[in-house]
Amino acid sequence: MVSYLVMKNNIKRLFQKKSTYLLMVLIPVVLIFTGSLSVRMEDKQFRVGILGSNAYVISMAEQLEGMENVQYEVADEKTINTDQIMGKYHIILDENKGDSGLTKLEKVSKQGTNKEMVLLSARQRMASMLLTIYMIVATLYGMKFLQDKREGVVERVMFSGGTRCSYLMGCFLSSTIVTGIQLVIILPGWSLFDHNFTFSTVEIVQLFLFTLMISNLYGILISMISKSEMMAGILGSSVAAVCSILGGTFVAIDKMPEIVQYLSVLSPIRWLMEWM
Amino acid sequence: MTRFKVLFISNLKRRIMDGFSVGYNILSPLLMIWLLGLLCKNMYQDELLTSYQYYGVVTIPFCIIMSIITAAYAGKDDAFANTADRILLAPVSDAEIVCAKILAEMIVFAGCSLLVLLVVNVFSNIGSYKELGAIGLCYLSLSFVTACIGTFLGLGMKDFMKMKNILNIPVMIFAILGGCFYQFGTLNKPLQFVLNLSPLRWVNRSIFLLIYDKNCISFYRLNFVLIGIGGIFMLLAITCFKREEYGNGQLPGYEK
Repeated sequence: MVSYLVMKNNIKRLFQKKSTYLLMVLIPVVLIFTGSLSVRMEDKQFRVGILGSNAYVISMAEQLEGMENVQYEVADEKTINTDQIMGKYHIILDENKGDSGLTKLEKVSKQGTNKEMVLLSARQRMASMLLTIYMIVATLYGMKFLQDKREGVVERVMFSGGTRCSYLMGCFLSSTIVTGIQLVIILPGWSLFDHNFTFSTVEIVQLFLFTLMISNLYGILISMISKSEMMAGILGSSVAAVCSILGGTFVAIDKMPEIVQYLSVLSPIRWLMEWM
Repeated sequence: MTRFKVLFISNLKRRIMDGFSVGYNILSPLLMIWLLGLLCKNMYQDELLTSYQYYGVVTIPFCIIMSIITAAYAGKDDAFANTADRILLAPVSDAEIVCAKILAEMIVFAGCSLLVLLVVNVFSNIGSYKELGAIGLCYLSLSFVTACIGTFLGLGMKDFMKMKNILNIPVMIFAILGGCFYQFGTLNKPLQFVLNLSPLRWVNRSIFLLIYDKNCISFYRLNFVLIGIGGIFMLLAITCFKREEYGNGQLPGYEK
């Protein structure tokens, strides 16, 4: 009963603020946009830069036309190293360096692999991004507990017969409902606007439940161990970012050093990747 | 000038003694560089640079930008320490109060970032000392912009707590688009346009152009733009300075 009352009170307070409605619309829109963008960024093609005289460029272009999964353009000599470092090109075909680049490209093109493809597929990337962001968002909602503790509301509930656990359960339920509403907007929205969103209905439901439970449990846990809202905010975002990195969002787990692979078992993002 | 000097030294001392500013600007980037460099070690074996060199360059500007929130909180230091009323009653102008804060924050953020750069350079050899000096100037400009924007938010806005919560999202998006966590590149023109919306992309690109292509034109252009933007926000911070907000120390959730 206490949990229900706390949940009801929290939801009432949240929906009285205009910013709640704004965030309810803004977060799903931003996620759908960045999710779709990240899928388009997952480029299965090799990007090749050609550096040399016009005749060399034409000759290389003719050879590259016949290769699968290759995009090319004429590179700028003044910025060639930076373009390679920033990931604009995977391979540079330099007239001064002979055919070593072309040999490497032919070999890799035949293997059909791309450095980026050893990372995540579009589905995994979307799911990982969703869980990371909702771990941070759920922390913001979970901070309600800290605010109530500071204002003496938790103490009043405990004096009236409730327990701290029942109060926490109420906070958990309220943040679950609010994040659930946002997820219900995001997941179908993704499938409507992005044809790369290839989850089946069962997978959408599983992803919804997994994200909802893990993110809200995480939010409540952070609120329980933090002494202030500022600490909760910083701790929540930092740990979520570390979990995302360790979970294999940017680097495939099998490419990580061994000790880091053992550490990544602690990351909920990795559990999601394994499930997918 | 004496009044400004007193305010500036007082703010500088506070920033240096603030474990949060120093920790966030030294420990956090070092940890991120070490962790990301270690994670991606195997991916950079055939590249022009090592993973530690890459993350050594891209992480520090990201951490400087994240200090916008620290700078916003720093605007409330006087109120929280119950010294705001004394300063407001003293014969100091609003501009002196704001500029002293901005200058102190700029020096601390830039100093911490330069220290991190030097430490990373010892282990990873990012560039020559001349290049490091130039990069230090870039960090100074970036710290100036960060300090100006943060001070504008902290002193010029009635309820910066809500803004602060929202601010994390665009900063993280800029960091991802800027290649701070992973190399993001494309030959697709529309996607390239989206990537170029991130200021961090320009900063990182300019630094790499300076070190690896010996191209300093865009680097100095970037510094000029950063100083310009910082100047605009500094004027906004002075113009929008709210005495009632400066004196308001009731910050929910902010406890020392």
